Amino acid sequence: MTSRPAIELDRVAFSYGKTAALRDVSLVLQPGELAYLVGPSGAGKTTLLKLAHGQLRPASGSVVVCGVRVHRARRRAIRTLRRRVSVVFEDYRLVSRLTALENVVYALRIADLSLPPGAARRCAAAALASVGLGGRLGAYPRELSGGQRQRVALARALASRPRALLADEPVANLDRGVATRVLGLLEHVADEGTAVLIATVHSGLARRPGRILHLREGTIDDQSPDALPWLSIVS
Amino acid sequence: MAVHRVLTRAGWTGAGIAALVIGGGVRNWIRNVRTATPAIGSMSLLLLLTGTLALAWLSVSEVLHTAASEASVVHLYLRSGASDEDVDALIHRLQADPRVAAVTYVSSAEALRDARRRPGLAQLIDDSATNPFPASLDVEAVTLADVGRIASSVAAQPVLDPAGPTSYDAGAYQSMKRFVQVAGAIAAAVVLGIAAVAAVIAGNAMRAAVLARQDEVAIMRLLGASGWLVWAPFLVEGWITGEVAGALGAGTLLALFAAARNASTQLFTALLPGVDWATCAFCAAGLVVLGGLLGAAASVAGLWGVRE
Repeated sequence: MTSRPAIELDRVAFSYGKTAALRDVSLVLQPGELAYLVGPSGAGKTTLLKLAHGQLRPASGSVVVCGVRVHRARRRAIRTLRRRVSVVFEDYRLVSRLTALENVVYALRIADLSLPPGAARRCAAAALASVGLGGRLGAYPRELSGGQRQRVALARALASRPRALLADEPVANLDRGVATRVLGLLEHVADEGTAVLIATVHSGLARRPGRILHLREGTIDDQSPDALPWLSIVS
Repeated sequence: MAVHRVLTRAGWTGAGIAALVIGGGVRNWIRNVRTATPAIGSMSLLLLLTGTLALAWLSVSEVLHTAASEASVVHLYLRSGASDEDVDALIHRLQADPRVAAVTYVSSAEALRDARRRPGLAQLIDDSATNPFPASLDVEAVTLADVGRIASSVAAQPVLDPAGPTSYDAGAYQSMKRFVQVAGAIAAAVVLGIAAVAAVIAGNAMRAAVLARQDEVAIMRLLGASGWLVWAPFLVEGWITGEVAGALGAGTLLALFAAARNASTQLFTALLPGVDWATCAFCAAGLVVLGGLLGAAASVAGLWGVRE
């Protein structure tokens, strides 16, 4: 018996006005699978992630994520989906009035209202420690560098142990060492059963474990890492 | 065991909701207290006016009630030095009148004693060397309509004080009623006007608070927060604004009442007859509750246009 895919896009199309962003895109990601969605800026990577997160609806085709038919889901179902699927946004999307720890706790409590405050804080602190921010729990986003904010966003996404994790440029602002550590963390999360989809233009992600999906001009034209000669190696 | 687990989970869920909704609302309110200041000012002014009008209404109602019960009684003021025979003759004549229900003789000393019970008069009486109150006959009419006829039938009697023979004042009661109706309508219009202004100001303050936190609202939605979880803290924030305005209005009302009580003693006049501290405290408590409701309502109105 095969498990149900965590993320499944079937012949999806989406346009911004008359400009086509995605054309006939199909993609299946199983639980525990990690995939890099790579392509140049404007290729449609963020649009694809937004479709998978229920922020956009496809013009045609179907999007099913964690059992939720996103393309026809009502608001309640979208909310349920967002509690199961974590996102690392390209612009971090941290609440400026909350500290790093509070940002993660906040997301945890939204995801599970029955979570005791102490448990939420411990879980959040552990997630922040795992991304190397154990010493900056009380720092506000304005007191953190871009890379640190990105890691807070990552910790927030990891803390709730989601069924699927969508990450938009999660290592764009990180130095080589931290990027490697973060990618290792995402691989570990995938090993524990979470489907991880990472969108990136970063030229340093090839030859790491996981599938490479090449998105160009709104279509996935190849899924072979060998077809991406412009990617350099980070290990 | 399973029941215990369910109850524990329900308890933590309640605590979690309270922390997010009430805690979030309180924190936001403290953070945005400057934005809420105009709303607090206008709402407290409205509530103070409402409380003052409520006290005035209670007082006027009390006066009207007393006036209505006294309206069927006319006082016939006896001339100083009137003989007992003349007074008895007048009493017999009145008792024979079918329009008269009862006649009571009130001596000058009794009139003085009654006057001492009225607020502010005691000190004035003490300052007077003589008793200024004449003896009188209190005549109770069978019907209110007979009061005027009885008064005019005896007004020319020599036994009565020629300067002011009776207490009858045609139309005084009706005039008072009409005044209360007109004043009430004007007061209601003023309160409604200020309420509208206060609601607009408070609503705009809330709208500004939402717009200033659009990013945060968007993040909450992206994290999967339910609609009520997003908006309830704003409702709590509006409620707190209303409560603070209510507390300010209530405090000012109590202070004004204390000042009015003090002024009553100084002016020998009851400024708010029939209203005591308990009534004022009740009105003040009502303002606090009303403030909360008004703040919450203003929140809903303010959020209406920006929810999506």
